[in-house]
Amino acid sequence: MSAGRLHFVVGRLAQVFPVLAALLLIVVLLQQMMPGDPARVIAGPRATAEQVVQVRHELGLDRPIFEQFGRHVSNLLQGDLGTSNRTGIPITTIVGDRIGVTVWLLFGGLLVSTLLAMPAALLMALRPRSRGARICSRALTIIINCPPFWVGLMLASVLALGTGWLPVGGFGVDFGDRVRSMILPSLTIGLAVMPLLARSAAASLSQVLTADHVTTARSLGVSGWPLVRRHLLRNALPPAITLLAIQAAALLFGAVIVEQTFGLPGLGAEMITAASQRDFPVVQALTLIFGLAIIGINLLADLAVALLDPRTTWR
Amino acid sequence: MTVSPPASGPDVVVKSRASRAKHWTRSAAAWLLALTILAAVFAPLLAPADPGQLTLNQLQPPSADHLLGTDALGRDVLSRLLFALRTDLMLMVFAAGLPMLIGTLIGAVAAYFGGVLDAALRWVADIFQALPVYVLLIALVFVLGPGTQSLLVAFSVLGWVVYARLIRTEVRRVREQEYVSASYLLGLSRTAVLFKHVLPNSLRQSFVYLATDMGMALQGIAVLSFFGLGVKAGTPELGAMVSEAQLYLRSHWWLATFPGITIVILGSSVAALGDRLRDRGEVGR
Amino acid sequence: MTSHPLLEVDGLRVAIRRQDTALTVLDGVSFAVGASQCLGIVGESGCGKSLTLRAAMGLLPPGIERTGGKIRLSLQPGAAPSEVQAGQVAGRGLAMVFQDSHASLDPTMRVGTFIAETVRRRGGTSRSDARRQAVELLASVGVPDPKVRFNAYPHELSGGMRQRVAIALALATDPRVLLCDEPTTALDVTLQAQILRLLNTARTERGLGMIFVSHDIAVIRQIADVVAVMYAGQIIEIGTVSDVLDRPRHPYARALIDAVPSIDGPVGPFRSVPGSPPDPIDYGSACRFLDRCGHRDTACEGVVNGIDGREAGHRSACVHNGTLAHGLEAT
Repeated sequence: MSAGRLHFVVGRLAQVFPVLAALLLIVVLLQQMMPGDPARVIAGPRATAEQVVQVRHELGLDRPIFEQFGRHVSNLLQGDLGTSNRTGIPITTIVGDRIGVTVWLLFGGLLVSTLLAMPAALLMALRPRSRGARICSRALTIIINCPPFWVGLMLASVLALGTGWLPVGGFGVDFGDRVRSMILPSLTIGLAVMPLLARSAAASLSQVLTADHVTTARSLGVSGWPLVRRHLLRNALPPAITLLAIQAAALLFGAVIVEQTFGLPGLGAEMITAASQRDFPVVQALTLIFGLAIIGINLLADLAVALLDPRTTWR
Repeated sequence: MTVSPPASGPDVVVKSRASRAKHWTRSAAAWLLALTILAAVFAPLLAPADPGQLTLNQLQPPSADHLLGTDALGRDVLSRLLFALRTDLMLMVFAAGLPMLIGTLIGAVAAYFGGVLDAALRWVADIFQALPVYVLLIALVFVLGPGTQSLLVAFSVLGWVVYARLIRTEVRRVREQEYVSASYLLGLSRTAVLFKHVLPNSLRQSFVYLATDMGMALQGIAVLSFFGLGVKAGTPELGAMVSEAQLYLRSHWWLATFPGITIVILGSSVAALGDRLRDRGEVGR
Repeated sequence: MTSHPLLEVDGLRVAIRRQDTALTVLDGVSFAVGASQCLGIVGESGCGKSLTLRAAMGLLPPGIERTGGKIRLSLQPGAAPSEVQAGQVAGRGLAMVFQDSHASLDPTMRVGTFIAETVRRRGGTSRSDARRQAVELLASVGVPDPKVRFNAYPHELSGGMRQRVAIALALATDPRVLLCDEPTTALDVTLQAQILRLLNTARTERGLGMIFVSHDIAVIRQIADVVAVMYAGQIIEIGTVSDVLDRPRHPYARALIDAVPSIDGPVGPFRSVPGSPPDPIDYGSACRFLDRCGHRDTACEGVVNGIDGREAGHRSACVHNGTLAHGLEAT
């Protein structure tokens, strides 16, 4: 690795720390922003007055904010995310139980959104002036404005309620059931993420296709597969990775909506349920987890893109 | 001649079906938007009934009395739809407009004073941009509790950064341009430069972004309300209406269908308007 | 000896296609280039000079198509030019050097590897041999330390060095005719002179035909033998450098040349060509310079075609060709 690249990697990694600190600070500050007594809220609706006092002391809510922040970080570093105030179950256990569903959904969404977006992106990049491309672009504007929860309900009412082909919600026990129960949620999340993906993919594709250096390569007689392999793919890989990161972030947010709509017991549904039941520690921990996931995805994508491009140096 | 394939010189030339079709869809969007705004503004006059009025006529199919039927609590769906449109339109405008106002102010102040303040803004903006906004939105609205105010606060806290950044970029761009150095020479004060050159330019870009932002705000408000985290229970709101209709999907499909379509129409027509604004900006440059 | 031209372009027509309309932007362009000869093409931006090169190479951007005309290329030394299909000759007889060396070199490839691969594409060269030839090519275009530069990425080189690499790449295909699209425009004057000298050497040593497109009359004067002036998608004047640049016959050519302040001429007011070229949609059968011309009369509104650049001698498309020549010189 050259000095310039090493410099970049170190610089980019260093950049993550303030962002992480900000995320943690916000998550801790969420407690302060709650109307009423945070200890009361955290202890949960069933807690007695003594329990509230105890919670306040245990969580250090009677301490200054900086100390709370430090405490929170050190708890996290020990793998302690706290416990749910509804059930008393440790949040790490809840996350472990539910992450599987979310991962299933993310893969389903990745598949569907890619399958839907790629033909649209190809059409818009290769034949930008055609009628098809224009219709496509209008359709994307409309699809992007369709609320996913509503699309989910409509799909469910047509494809599941009307025909009985597919389960309306829930997450089956065996593999076949699970795949069937993933079809509608994947379709919904795929539709929600697809317009963004199609537009960005079309933009980067047409940029790569019309790049001057591709014309140069063609002027030297490079064509067909060698052109794709030696010149197009290499240059298209970085934008593709960036796209994947955008897609992943959008899918994560989509998962929150879609899981709840279809009653899938995943992390996103857990966050909404916890929020509606005022289960503060769970909301707090899941905010952190989703936040970390998105920051991590962006970091990985940036590093991969940078390492693929020989021009990379820090600033 | 350098040939830049899309939309260079002879773009004006071919006023064929392409541009006419474009024109047509966009004016259709403008009409739809105008129609929805009018319907929202005149909701109290247009609504045949009180949107909160409970009756025993529950879950009626559409009829002459209730054009869109009644919901599970016997309320007139058309009236609720009109008032929900009013709620969403207002929330949408403020949830996107307030961040713009705040962001532009912060950006202008930072750009005006420069130095440490400007550097601090850049730092904060960089961090905000890296944070997962939507997840924080849910957390923030949860903490603040359901209701219009918490929605607006949450959107403002998370949304101002883009606008502050827009104005900051604009300040830097304009500073490098000759006419500003010329106006300095002419003795125009810094304030005058800010108000005469920088703000008008950056506001145009901000409005383009505002159109996109309003669509996103609408979706956010509807989603949060759908989950019972947005508006207070009972408030007529489109997402909440879809949520209330969930249970009756099999027998009363129209209850969930119409509020959803209304969201799509409202969001798409605002987005189309934003596209038009952006295209004009590009031509004007 | 009567030698065949290397490259012959015959009635080239190019159009921008949209939906069901086609907008002709190159309208019957014809010219020929012989061995060791350099044809310069001058004109304002938008006149179609770069497009002519792209069309000859078969590298038109999407949405722009060749709608007529023939390209003939002599594929073997001494052979008469035969008709070739667009796209067949890129890198196999024709090569091109572009204006922007920063954007036109693949950022992900080491320059030496790229040149060696290009050498190998001609066939019959081993990997190590191609590598050796690539180093030789780099040395021949004046790249210092060619063995070290072999491993450089384009962004690690200066602008002048990158343009030398671009020339080496083009030469690596062993072309018959080299097309140059403003290759010196992005460079400063000293580098410009170096690159022009380099191109001239390559031309004479290899017997290359060359087409050099530029809007810079001074550069054309240094490198070209024959000059074609293009306006609104047509060649409107052609002849030797001294004929066209010193004794232009077409009012537009005259105006274009006058727009360049000369170092040794008297210092007069800076003149530019008034007005702007017509939009392709307004191209009619009349003289396309009509609206901007100070010498127009009713004869100009008849059919005025571009000229066939393959015929010898100094010729202009202006209907007043002979009569105006003297008057123009006097101004």
